[in-house]
Amino acid sequence: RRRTGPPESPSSPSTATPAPMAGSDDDQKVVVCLRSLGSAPMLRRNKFKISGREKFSKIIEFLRGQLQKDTLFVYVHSAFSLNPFSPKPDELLIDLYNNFAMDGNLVVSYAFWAPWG
Amino acid sequence: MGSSSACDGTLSLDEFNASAKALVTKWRGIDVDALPDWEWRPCRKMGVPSETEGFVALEGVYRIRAGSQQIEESSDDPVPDDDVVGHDTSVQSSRDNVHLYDFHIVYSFSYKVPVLYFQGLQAGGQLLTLDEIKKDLPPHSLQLLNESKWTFITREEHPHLSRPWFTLHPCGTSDWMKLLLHKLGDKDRSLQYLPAWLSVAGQAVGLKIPLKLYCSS
Repeated sequence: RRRTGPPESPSSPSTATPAPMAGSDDDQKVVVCLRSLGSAPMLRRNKFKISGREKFSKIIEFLRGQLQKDTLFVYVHSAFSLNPFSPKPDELLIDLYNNFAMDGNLVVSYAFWAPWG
Repeated sequence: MGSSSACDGTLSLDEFNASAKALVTKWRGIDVDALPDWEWRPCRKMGVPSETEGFVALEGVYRIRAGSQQIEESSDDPVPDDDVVGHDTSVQSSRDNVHLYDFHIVYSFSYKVPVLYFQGLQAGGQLLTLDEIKKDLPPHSLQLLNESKWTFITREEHPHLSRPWFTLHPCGTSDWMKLLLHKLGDKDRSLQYLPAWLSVAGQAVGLKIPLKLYCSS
């Protein structure tokens, strides 16, 4: 199916420069550290390795499954860039990791999305 | 010294203006593939552009209409003359398959947060209805709009253009902005407010904000 006109967004979302020590991204795992905020509970296990080729939606789904809560607010903070944001679900973990990891960890914060939270 | 109003998820008009200008500058400096640039639009009073009031505009964003058929595909097959759909018709159909969107970020004095105003247009210039706009949205955006009580669309008069636009209602904004910004000091909160806000607001309306906006310069 052909498209006409400029596309709204590029089909390959990877925009980051690869990490200097990475040989190939194919089997590169990233370390994700989950951090709770406000009334959201901490997980028993909050740090794990996951393939960099997975999307951020994997993290969101994991959190929803663990916390049995659909209305979660999930976002990324980096002390270095001071630019907090909520990643798009189709963002690749390797791109997030390469740009926002601190001390080898991609810190992902989560909170319950409620006005009184 | 800047006020610490952002620690409650709100920002002052001055902070909005500063954040808006920082957003425009940073956006221009990064290589954004498929989106135009945000532009600062000063409000005009008696024809004179205001120094203190304005909004940020992203206009002419293309979206391929959902479910659009491409007649040109069938022209590859040998068909009898009667059935040949002229090239003109294919081009016409292709043009009709594109929707154009405008996004404005406007400061709300009552909520003290930015508000996203948007509209969609058909190729011929007719305004899209909300149902038509929703058909253009990716599944994640629809999910966000349906699930969260704090991101929903209403129709409001654009404060500077005196016409009804669609808008993401601002009532929940300060709550999630409080979460996003809680680690930052006052000065950083103000400047980072709009990019942070946009990462959420953009998702609700299918506007893909590039990751580069959040990387250090």
